[in-house]
Amino acid sequence: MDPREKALIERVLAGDSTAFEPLVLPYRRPMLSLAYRIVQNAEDAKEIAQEALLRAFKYLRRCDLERSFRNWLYQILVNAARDHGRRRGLESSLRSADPLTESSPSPEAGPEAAHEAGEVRAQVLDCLDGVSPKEREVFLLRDIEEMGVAATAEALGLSQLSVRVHLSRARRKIKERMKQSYPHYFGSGR
Amino acid sequence: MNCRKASRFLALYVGDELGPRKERAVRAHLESCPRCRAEAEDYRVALERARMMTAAEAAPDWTDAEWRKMMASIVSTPVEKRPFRAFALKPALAAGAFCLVVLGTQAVIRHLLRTSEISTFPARQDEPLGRLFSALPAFDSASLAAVEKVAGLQDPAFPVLAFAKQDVPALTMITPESGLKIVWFFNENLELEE
Repeated sequence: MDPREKALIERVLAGDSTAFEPLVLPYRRPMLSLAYRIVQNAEDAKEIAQEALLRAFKYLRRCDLERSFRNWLYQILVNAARDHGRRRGLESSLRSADPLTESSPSPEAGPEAAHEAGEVRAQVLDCLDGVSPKEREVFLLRDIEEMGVAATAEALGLSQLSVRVHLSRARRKIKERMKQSYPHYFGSGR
Repeated sequence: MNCRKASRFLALYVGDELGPRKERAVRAHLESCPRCRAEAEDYRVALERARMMTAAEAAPDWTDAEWRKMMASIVSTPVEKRPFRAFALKPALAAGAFCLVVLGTQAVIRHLLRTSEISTFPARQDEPLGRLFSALPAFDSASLAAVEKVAGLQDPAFPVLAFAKQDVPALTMITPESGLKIVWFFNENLELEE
């Protein structure tokens, strides 16, 4: 674990709750983005990320100082997302999501770039719809968040072998769906 | 490696998640198989497109006011207290169990030594005292007093049963015919004392 994070955790555990905000501030956007990619709904993502931060503060004593704090946070986030999915019904949440209206491209980008970004996102989310929730989690952590296989396994509570199996399936499904729906991405004649 | 087998590994090959041996085998197959090479390329394109999503998207965020309010709410929650760890009591439990085993063993040994002392008493079973001893279910001071009373051995000078009251191991032998008495005393190592 990063020495700075370790020191902040020790301060929080010693009773200095003001040390919690600097501890989690670097993960504010990444956590929200990951939650958003899992549930594909901005409001739900905020709710899940907030719940994850609350659990992180409450159970900070359980955090292993020898392990990555980021992985521990992501593990809590994924669990919070799963709980949320169970409460609301993940399928209905996915169906109700509209990637084009949900995503809000950065204001610096022009309207054309924003439109293009929204389109790309809509297409990839369309492809992600074909994969199972677990495959989606593995794919998001490994391929989008670019976490290692071991870190992904740790965050999701899976074995590394299981991560590889889910990852392989997710990539295959995404590739096939993408090829079927958007053949122009894959060059001419294929 | 044939195409079917290579195809199973391509999804992991493009992400460098295969072990060195499988990776070498897949790479060697791709060099000689244009169809599998094209499929590997498709995987790369699909992954690249998926990663574009993260670059292109603007994920939601809290406003600063929302964030501050949320943080204030979170840090006002009590932190979980140190969880109860049952295994922390294990050394104490183990020490307690060890003491009980030692005390129990000591008690059993003492009991066995006492009963063996009685059994070494050489009185004949047809003698009144011998019958009394053989009828005793267990050795204790109350039954000893009863034996002494019945046998008329109240005189403290009469040492027939003295061995039973001693704190050191001793063996007393009496010849009923002549009344000859021999007492052997043992030290703590059960060695005969001079």
